[in-house]
Amino acid sequence: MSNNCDVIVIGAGHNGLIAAHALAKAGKSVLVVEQRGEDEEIFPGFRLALGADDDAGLLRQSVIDALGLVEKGVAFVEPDVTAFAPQPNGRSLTLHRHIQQSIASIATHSTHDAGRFAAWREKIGQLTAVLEPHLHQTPTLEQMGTLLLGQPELVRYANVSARETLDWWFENDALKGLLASSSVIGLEHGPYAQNSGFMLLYQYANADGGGFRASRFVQGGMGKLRQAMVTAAMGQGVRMRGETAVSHILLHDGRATGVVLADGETINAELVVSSATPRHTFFNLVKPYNLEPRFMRRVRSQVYRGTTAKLVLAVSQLPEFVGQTEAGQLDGHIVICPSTEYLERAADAGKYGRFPPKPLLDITIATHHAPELAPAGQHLLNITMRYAPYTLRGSSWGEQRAALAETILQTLANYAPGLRDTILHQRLITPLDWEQQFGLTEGSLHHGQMGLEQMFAMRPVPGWGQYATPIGNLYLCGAGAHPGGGLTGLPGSNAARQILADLGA
Amino acid sequence: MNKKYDAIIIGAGHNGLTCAGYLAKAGKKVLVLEKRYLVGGATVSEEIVPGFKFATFSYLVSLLRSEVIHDLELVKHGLRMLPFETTLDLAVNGDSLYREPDHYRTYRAIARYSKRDAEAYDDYKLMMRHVIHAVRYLMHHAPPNMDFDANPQALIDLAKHVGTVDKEVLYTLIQLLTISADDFLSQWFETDILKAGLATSGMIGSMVSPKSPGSGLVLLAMYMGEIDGVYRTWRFAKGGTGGVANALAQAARSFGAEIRTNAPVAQLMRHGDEVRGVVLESGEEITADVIVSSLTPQMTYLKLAGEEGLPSDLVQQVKRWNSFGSASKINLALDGVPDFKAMPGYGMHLAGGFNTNVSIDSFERLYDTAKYGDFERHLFIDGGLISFADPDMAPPGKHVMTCFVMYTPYHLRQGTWDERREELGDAVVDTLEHYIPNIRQLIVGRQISTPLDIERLINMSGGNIFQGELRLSQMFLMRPAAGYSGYQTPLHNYYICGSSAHPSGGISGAPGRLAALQILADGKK
Repeated sequence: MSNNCDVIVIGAGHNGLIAAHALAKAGKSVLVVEQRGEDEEIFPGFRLALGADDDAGLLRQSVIDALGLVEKGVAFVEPDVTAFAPQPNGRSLTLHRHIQQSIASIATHSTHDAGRFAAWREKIGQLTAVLEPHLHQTPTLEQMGTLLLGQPELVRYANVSARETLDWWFENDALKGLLASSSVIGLEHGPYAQNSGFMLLYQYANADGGGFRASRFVQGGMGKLRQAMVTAAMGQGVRMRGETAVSHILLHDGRATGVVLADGETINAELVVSSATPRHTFFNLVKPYNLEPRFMRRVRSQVYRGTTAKLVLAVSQLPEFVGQTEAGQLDGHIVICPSTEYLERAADAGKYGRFPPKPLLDITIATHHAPELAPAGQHLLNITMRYAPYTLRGSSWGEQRAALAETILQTLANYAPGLRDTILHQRLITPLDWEQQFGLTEGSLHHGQMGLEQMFAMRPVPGWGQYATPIGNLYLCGAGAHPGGGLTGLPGSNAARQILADLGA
Repeated sequence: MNKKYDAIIIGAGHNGLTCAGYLAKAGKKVLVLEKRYLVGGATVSEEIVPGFKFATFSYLVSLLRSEVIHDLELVKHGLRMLPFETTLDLAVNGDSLYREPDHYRTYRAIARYSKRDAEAYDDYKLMMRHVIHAVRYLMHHAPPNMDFDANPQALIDLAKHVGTVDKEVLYTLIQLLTISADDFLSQWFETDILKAGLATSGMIGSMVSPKSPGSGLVLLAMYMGEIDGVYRTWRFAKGGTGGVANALAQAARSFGAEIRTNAPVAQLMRHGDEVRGVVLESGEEITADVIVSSLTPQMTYLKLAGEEGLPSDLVQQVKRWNSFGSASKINLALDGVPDFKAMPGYGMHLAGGFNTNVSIDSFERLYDTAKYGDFERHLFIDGGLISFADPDMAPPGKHVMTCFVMYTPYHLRQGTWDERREELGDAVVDTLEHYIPNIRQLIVGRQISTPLDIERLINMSGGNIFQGELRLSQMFLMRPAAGYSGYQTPLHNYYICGSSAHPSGGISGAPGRLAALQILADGKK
């Protein structure tokens, strides 16, 4: 059997699978190579897809439909409570899927804000609706010009800091802190930084109702979603090779002609599509000496600087948080971020190469929508922490791991006093771990920072936002390409569409 | 008895005076009303300490448009530019970097830190030249009406211009609109003191740090300067920046304009949506066909016009207009010559500028303190000895030092600026002493202008020196408000001409000129 094919897709993340599926559906023979194995047993008796957040709320309906995910058994869970924010003073704020319930909870903190929340949601909804079609297109300069000149309100909301736009609307710190926690995803900056307003909009895409982003989980866990994507791709004839590392991309006359695997095996293809990060793709798989110097400078200058750490806890029983009145409050995101200033101060620490003593924590309890991941009665807490800088000053992650885990647990102890005694196992993933174990350059989960200066036609680098690269027959289809990270599925589907258009198919 | 004018200009800042000059030159009967005792607004020179002339607020000239100088015959009316060609960047740890017009000396100075950076310096300057060349089109043109049917030509011209720009340059320009100065500069450089020294242009007057997204745009705006077609050139004006205002005022008067000082305007005389004149604080009423405000949007719309009858989307945008200042101005009268630790004795560096506390981290820490409403004791000072360029500013052997100081926030969390003004002055002297050991014994007088003073004295709402933060959503079609970006306002016969209009702040005269051209064009209809 020849191992040659039309298209090799590097990486079987969701974007790689989505692109592979679309290309195979168009009649291409597609091979996907993936370095990692299947999702693992992280502790004895506990399983978790470590690489993913639990929230699949950003995944677009067009992608779900294209892959027929629902038919393949994917069921989404939409808890009533979307976010629960315990406060330092022992109170709490809860946002619900139904706006009237959210407003009622907000009213216990501020009647002013309760009165404005519905209008705010409507405004954010209007603006994300303007933004949405642009995320589904191959970005161009003209598109940016159209947005800049023709959508002043969108530009205003995207350009201001999240703090500023939240101050326009609200007065209550608990509410502003909770909402601002969405504005810094994929960024090294805090909510006082210009352009953090954009991320707030980006994260509210797909969100209807009165809650906190889309907050939609997969029944049975993210592993189920991945399996369904694999099934869909294979159903179109895509071949999969796991635990297969690519050594480099084969070039001939400046064009990609295939890949060489780590074991020396060569696979030829007409097209190579990489869902790896742009820097890994160009510097490790293509090699800098094959790049034109100006392009190389652009790739070198692309900002990654991951700031996210993750602590997974296996616990013997559900935690109880301050301000919690019912079990259902733990069904969505549990967010420790009592004010925008709290969040900004956390970001300050990261800027100087330290992690903050009081970090942002965004906790989901994976076993709520996927009890089968843990032994009966026991639970998995998926804790996302910011800001943990990839580059620590005067120290290393080897030295600081334990201190970071302790900081997270200490912070948690203030909001869930009994939690520590129930911990059975814990696993920490630092930004360095993301890079070393998951291939994420500088630990950036979004394959490059999600700053406005690296979005649209500027992603991954200015001038190369159309999925093609200066290397002929080499395309990008990962989160490093437009519209970026978060589990949207859009880079993969956009790239496939553009590739087929470029091929004249 | 009221005297009828064709146009009344509110505020005799450089834009108000420029607008007045153009209108008067076109034969209009123009009255300029200024609340202070002298003309200039933020471009004034004042003798606060006897014998010493301070450039009270702004102190350098670069952005002043050549066509304004030419059209208003400013040289004939006394405008003189004096060289200001060197920059001495001083770090707290004793590092320094001296950049001067001599290419090879500057190369060697940078190469002491990094040969790679010395090489890249030329590439960087060339790229910025291309970017500025592309963007300066905007300095000459009013923002187009986005209603294509109403005015197709402006949009076609803009599109044509964009079409002529090299793609690489265009992408770099777009990048500058949202990137941080540090990320932008890091594409070329690795040396902290060089990056930080260059990044100061991205901080000036703005509540952003080198690592803040948005500081790239300020950097771009500050690079747009040119003197006689030479980009990125800064000059002292003879007589301080007040010399610019005086030349503009003389020019306007020579064309027949009348300028009244000590004449603060209280409000507009409105008849429905039509503006017919102004009421002074003295109660005097003056009518005119056209009223032009050179003030901030808050003053122009909320105070002078009043909200009533204004479109609600305009009022909302004006209320959300971000114009919080981060800069203070301290002027020092000196009894002798300051002696820099990094460059002892006399030298050309004394006739140029210097920056203190130059490092990216230092700037970030200053900004961090400021964003929570306080200021550090060891500050960033962009200083210069005006009297070395222009000896007339101080008695023989004595000097004036101008200190532009950041980050000093408009909103203080503890205390008020009235209570803490002298504390700021002391912090500035302490900072200077670190780099200029003999400074303390030389000081014979000082003048401190905090953001609050800037707001109070010259009506700069929030104390921002550009009449509004320079940021993507407050530029071009959105300056000062989306849908209201030309020089016309929704009120009949009421116009704007200040730095809060396109193309924004700096002593450019560009908004004043473009507003005058709009008013004259409207008058012909």
